[in-house]
Amino acid sequence: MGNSRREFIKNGLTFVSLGMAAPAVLARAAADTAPGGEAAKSSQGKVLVVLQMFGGNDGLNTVIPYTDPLYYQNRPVIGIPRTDVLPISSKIGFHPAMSAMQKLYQQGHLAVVQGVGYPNPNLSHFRSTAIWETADPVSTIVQEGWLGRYFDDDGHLRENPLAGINFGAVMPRTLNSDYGSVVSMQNPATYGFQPIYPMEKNVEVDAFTALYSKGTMASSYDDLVRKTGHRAYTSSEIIHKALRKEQLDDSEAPLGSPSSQTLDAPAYPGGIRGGLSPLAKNLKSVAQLIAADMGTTVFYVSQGGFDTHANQPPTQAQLLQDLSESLAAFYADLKQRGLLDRVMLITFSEFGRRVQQNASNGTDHGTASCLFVMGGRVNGGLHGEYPALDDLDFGNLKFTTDFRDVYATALDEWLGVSSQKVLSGSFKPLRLLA
Amino acid sequence: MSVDVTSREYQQMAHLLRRAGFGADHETIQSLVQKGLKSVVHSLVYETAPDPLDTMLDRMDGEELNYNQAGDLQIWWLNRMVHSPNPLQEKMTLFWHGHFVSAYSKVNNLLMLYRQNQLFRRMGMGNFRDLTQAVSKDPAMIWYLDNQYNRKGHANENYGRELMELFTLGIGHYTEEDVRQNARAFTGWGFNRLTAEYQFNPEQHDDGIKTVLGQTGSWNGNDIVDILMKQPSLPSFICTKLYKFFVSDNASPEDVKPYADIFASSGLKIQPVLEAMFLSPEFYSEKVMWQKFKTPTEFVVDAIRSTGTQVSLRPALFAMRAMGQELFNAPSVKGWDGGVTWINTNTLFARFQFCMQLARMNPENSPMLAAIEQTLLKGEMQTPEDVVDYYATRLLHRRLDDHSREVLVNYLNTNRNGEAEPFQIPTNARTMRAAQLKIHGLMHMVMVTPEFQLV
Repeated sequence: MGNSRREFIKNGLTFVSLGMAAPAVLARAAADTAPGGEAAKSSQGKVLVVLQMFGGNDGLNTVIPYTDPLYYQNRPVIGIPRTDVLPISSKIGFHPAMSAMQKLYQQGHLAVVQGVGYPNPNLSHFRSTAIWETADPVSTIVQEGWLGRYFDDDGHLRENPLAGINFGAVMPRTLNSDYGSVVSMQNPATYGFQPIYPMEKNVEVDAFTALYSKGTMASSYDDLVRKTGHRAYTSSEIIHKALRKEQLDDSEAPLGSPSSQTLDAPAYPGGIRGGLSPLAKNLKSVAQLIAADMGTTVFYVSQGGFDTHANQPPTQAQLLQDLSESLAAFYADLKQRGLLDRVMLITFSEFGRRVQQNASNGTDHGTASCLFVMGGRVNGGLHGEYPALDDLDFGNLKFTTDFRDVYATALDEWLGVSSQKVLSGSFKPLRLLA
Repeated sequence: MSVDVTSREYQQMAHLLRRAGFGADHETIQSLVQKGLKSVVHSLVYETAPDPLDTMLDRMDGEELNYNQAGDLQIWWLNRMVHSPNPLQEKMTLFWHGHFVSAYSKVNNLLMLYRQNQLFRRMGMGNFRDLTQAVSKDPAMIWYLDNQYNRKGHANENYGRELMELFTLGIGHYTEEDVRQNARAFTGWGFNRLTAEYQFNPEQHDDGIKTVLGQTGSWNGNDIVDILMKQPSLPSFICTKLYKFFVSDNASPEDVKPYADIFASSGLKIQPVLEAMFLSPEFYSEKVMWQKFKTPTEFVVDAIRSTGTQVSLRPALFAMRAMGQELFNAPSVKGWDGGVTWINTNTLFARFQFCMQLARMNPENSPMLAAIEQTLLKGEMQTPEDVVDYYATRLLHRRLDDHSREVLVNYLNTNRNGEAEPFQIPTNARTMRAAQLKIHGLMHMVMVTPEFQLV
């Protein structure tokens, strides 16, 4: 605690002096130089992508125990018929909408972690989400996310002007950090400060950066908004510079223009509202930004709608198909760009669902579920044990793998930091990485 | 009689109108200062002005609104927030909208969502028990939390859980068994698909014995609501949310206790709690004033109200989505997290962009731009500082801090090539045209200031 307070003061002072000296000029200079220098070191490094499936995905109908009679007894209507299941082994298989992920699985770069959960499961969406985000099933006052603590504990990342990027309007708690430079955006191409008239751009940008560069030591809302504005500008400059450099602003590129993607462009799936699905669009942007080499270590994307209390089958099928095809396209995209070995992607959902279906052809909140890990260095296959359907806890599955074991794998063996410190405890990495 | 913008009376009144409503223009604040804080709080809380808006708003912006379009429903409500003579009623409607959440992403019937919104408007300042009883029978809520599928022998727990976790008690004040029993009591509470009205289906109702929160009986949903209302954790749970919404994100049990006591002793009436909040010295203290981020709704409505902008609100809908708040479509049953989560790099850029659109208006659609041009031509402003202060008074209702003021004056005195070039106060139509770029640009930049993000 003493240590972090000292760090805060140090960082705070740096901020103040940077701001007061020559705000606009310095801020621009910082933005101009950032992709080189310190950040470049980690840009050759590894990237973690976290994919949140909000609402509580029904693991039993995602990776299906299709030879277990108890499965069909509990799910007379919504159980997936044995003949429709896409087999993984002689006992379990994927939901029929997941053929693209089945292919990834066969290529050996998709791991299925079974029975993931934690002790004394909580069936509230929000509490359970907070538990996954903070990696703390006990304390309700922890504010920093597990990746936020990773940013804070790694001194190098603190200096990284763009350590983490979340796609979405709201920052997930997983990335909450005391010092890490983490930004939220919806679309990299339009992310930035727009002047009222193009010819006023420079003078408006100078005024904007001057307004936002002066930090104070006071822990006030005014101070927080200034810091966020400063970070917004700096990050947007880095992103646009990097994207220009890599000529990856491909959505605007005319047909037939030379690009790394002219041949065999990965087929990101469409959404129900036309265009790419939001998940596909965001994963496509992640691939672009990884290629742009900005030194960003963590990307965060999400998909919602898994809270299937009623009429689950069509809803979940559509969501799993979107997930499956988006992941396959992302995989292909990374492969084409030669980035596959630098990326590890982990999915999670706050809980699985009740073993027995309810009267409305849906499922109520449950406990353990499966998750997926994907990447060029990922040791594909099945990990952990499938939870027993004949040994339930009030109708819910007993977990077999602690989710913090998955986090420990990512921290110790992928990001190369001590999970002991970040997770405040000792967890055993799984053999997820080759 | 004109009241100085820096005076304590003006600052308190402006603060009250921002928090208990959606802000007000400079002239309104001036005139309400004459009435006094106590009297204004009383009218806000206890008086309801005749409301001509329902009939008017159907054809707002010269276009007919179609209630089968979510965007039109959102515009209908935004217009109410901009124009309603009862701003606190609209603010409380927004509060309940984020508390008893239902969203069109699931409820595929906008008439139901419209009626739920009217329910909040009608009952949102009354008794919490009555409101909770009404919400439990509200078709949009029943649909949103799947209670139409909650049937005898096959309970669907969705409403039974959230009623306790999010709507009345808070997590930790009930057990998983209470959730299961609670769900049984609400079996058979559905709606009629043709009329979109509440319907009780007796053959689907489980009238067996249930034990909920230690009380045993053949409870139905009404009984459950009554049991919940007597739980000791309820008053502080609701008052904590009200405190966070109106006063401060940092709500300690000690901060909330006086209001929870008032709430409990009044028999769960909302009005006395609001009155006490708006009259407390703490509400006007340094740790409260300007110590909150505007919500996207407050941001958009305040920007439109204080500039008087008269245009279609359709662009505001896209802007609000990017700012993280889409009316009638909260991201989850928990509503919007609010507080510091409103501000991140993405939402900040979205705010600036919306202001830029307002600042680009033609003066005929922007009373603020028209007024500043007239004031300039009348010779009432002599220096660039005067121009900056004019906007600050009317958009922020305060003086800018010295640093921000200096930056904005410097902006006026800098040409597009970044060279110093003193801003010429326009005195006629020709020099006005030359100055317009800066006058519009300055309006944008005042709304870009950190100060404008706060409330």
